[in-house]
Amino acid sequence: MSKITSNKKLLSLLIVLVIVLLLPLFINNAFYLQILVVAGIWAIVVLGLDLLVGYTGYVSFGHAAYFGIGGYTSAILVMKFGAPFWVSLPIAAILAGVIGYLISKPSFRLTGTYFAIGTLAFAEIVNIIFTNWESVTGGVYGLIGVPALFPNLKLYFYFVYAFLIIIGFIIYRLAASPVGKALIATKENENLAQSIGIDILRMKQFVFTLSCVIAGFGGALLVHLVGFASPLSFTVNTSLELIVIIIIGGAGTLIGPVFGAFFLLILSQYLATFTELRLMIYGLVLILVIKYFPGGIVGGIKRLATSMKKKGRKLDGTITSAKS
Amino acid sequence: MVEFFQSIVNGIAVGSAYTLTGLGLTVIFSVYRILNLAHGEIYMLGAFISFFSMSYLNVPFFVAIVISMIASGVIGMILERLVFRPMKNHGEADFLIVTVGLLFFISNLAMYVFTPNIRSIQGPFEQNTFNFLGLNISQQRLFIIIITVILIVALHYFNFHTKTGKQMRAVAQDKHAAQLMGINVNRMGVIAFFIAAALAAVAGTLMGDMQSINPAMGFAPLLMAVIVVIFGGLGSVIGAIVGGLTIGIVQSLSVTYFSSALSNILLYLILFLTLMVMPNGLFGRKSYE
Amino acid sequence: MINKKKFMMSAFMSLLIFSLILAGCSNSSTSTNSNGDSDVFKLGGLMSLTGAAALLGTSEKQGVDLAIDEINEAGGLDINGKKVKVEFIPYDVGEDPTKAVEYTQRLINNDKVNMIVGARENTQLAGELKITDPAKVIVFNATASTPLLSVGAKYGFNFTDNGAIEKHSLIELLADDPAVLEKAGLDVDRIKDVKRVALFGRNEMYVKQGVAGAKEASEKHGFEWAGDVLFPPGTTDFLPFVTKLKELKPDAVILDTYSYELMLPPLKEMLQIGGLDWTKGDILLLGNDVMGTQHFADTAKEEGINVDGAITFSAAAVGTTPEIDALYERIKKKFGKDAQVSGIAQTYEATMMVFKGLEEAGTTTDTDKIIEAIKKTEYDGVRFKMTVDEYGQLVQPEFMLTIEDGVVKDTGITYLEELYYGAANEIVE
Repeated sequence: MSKITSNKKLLSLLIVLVIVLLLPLFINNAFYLQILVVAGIWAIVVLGLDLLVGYTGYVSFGHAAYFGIGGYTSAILVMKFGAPFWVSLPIAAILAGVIGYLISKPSFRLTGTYFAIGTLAFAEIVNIIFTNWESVTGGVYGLIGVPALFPNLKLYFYFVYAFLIIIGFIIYRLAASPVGKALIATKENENLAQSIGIDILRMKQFVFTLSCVIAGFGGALLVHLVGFASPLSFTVNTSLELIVIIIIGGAGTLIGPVFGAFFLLILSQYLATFTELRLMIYGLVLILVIKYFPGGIVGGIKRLATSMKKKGRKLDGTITSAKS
Repeated sequence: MVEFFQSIVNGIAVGSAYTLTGLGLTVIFSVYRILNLAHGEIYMLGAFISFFSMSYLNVPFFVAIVISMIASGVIGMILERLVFRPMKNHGEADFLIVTVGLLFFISNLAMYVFTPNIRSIQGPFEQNTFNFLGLNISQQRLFIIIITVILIVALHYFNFHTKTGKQMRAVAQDKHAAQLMGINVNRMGVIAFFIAAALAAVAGTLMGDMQSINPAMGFAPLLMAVIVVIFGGLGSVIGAIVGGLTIGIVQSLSVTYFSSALSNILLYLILFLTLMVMPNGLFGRKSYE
Repeated sequence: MINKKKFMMSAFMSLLIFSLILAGCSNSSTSTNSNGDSDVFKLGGLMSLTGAAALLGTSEKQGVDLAIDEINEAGGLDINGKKVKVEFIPYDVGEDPTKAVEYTQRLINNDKVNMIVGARENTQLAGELKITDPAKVIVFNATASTPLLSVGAKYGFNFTDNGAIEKHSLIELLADDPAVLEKAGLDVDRIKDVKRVALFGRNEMYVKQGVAGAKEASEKHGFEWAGDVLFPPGTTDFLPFVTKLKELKPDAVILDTYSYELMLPPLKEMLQIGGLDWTKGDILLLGNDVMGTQHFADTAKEEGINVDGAITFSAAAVGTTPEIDALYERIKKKFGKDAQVSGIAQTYEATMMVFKGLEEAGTTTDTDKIIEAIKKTEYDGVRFKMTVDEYGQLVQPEFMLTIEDGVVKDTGITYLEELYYGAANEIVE
């Protein structure tokens, strides 16, 4: 049984891979490629963050900081020290991770709302440093003219999607491993999990750090793609947007936030000329998802599927059941 | 030395405006256990209601504030009924995110309806500055401090000396027990939202008079108010006062002696470090399980 | 089983989403006729229509809208005798510069525009120009105030002065001959008392350019630079910052903020804290050009702020000509009496000048030709005769203004060539 499952899994994975590999052959429009690449980068970042938000229930309002740390680090290494990309990208990810690790220990003394605002406070500190450390970050100007990783967007596309698949696979394995199960146990009842011998703090720290590593990597990809690093790209709004994507896609489902990234990016393009209404609709969708579609898009589809099969299975009313 | 004390006085003036904005957050938290990030949007709506009352109904400033308090309070009640009450079974994080949704929704709806134009409220204050021992404070700032004090006293009186206030505190301490005692928990929720929104309307109008009003005016003050109430401890009125004053004074001193462009870094650093030592802020009770 | 389903679903969903993207974003209908030049000219727009900068972005959009409506009502652009209608495709770039990059790609690759108005915010513009310049797409703006669009871009036009030029003009006036100032009806004693100059503004790109300009002009003319107070973005309370400004003990303060919500509150604080009260002669108030609009003076008055005696500059002599009044009337008729007339007019005129350039180029597609044509175009603006220099920078005299009894007044002093030095022609980093 399990063998068949994994074979089928492999097959569907292959299908996805083939689709992704073939796509650029049909797309010659730089705009489509650009937003697919941007969506891919966001998808990578929210994939990591979902491990924190969806699996542990801790909402971070500050991941723009790690996104930005990764972006600036890679930009600075390449522009000021002439580092090659294969050096700057890993260092960007690692530095974001190290800082995330250092911040994670004290941060997990906080719970719920305090945790969210605590992470926000740190992100604001980081943003103020971006804005003011002129000799290194270029201050309000940011760093303009960050070299591109690849001469064309198609290569970018392959690179980003290769990493999306690799990172997705790793995180998926992690979530299915005992670590993931322990995380879910923690989310449901932290005290109980503790009492059965799970080292919760270490677990949470690990997840937080991992999400920062991934965010840092994503930030580096983004900065090289758009060609500049600006403090305005890594603000509270960016952090909120990451959370919005996760919630709308379906927190704790991993695949959900990935869809969320694509969904919101497409929605924003559809509504590009509606301006105020666009953000209004974001707000409304967010409220409706939380209230009526626990589990976001993916949760909704799943629920639809299950309710078609058999009625009555009651769903947990909370997407990200909070710590309190 | 005058410079130092002037900076402290400025900090108090700035801080009491933060406290005033943060009070509503505290009231809602004490009953609902949620940090309402859409509070800044009520603050904005309150300012607009005052503005429209003054320009279309031609009522004086203080009447406009009262109208705005009531109208905003009703908006708060509607939000409670439509959005928050049906979510009773959700976790804290869900509430937080719903308020983010509301924030997007209300501010952009306002942008659409009111247009981004700047409006001004014409308050009764003159450009007077009181001078005491070489320290200056403007009439308007002094008035904001006084109003803040009055509202705090009134809130305290309400909490501790009225039946509804006592019931509300009972709900804040233990919802289930309060329910068993026959307290109508839903009613308490409505009242809390009414009071919070009315307080936001006062803050929005006074600050809108001091500055100017537009649909984007809600977010930045909200952020400061959030820092204040988180630092002081959610749900604690004392916390909001101490938080507001501390944050105001720190900000003022850091602009004076450190760097204006970098001044906010100290606020966030202090907030962050305080939370590390006291995970529930200065005066926050441990959240209930 | 669930895992399998999840993966199948993901495969399906990816297909769905990708096809949605391909289908969805291309709502542009290109109506191109056989000879290559289309009968519709598409003008892209990148404007901040939401968020904190929405006020400025909206007035930009309205300026373009007005220009396009007038052209289209008259039948369209006259390109070699053929009438070509103009279509405007504006996107909201909010505050995030990475969004500007996405929308730039969209305008170029999907909507197939070869001209874009905006963005205004300087970081957004920097990201946009990296794409437009290699793609030979023209970008112009009438409110961006940055050399990025002139010396910074081959295919860019800057239809306003930049932060440095503006500050040069203010300091130039301080240093001008007392006889000239006297004749202009200015308070010569007050001006000649100025020794220390300070600047107050938000910590952002535009203001940094302004600081560089003000500093070098002060040095050039022998004024002491008292310093600058830059408040962080998102500041809600200006009291501590204004107090710091007071401690710099300036004789003249340049208020380098450009939107009402960033100008009115600091002005109120300056009046209230004492020591910076320009009405009592504590300082000389030097304003950004927004201050030189009657609309601002009126709004300030409503707020109880007396800006009398302030010295500022503008791209226009004071608006009393019948042409300006007529334009303002048209704007108010279209967008209501609350409309930001001068801002809208500025973008309107820039757009009209570009349209004239298009007509003179006789093409809507040959970018190089259009660039050359616009550089040769003279547009008879309501404010002054508009031309651009070799860099695509509007050759704009600075009309020095002052405010008397709540009314914006011309001093009769204008500067032009003397302002173009140092930071005027370089991107300050």
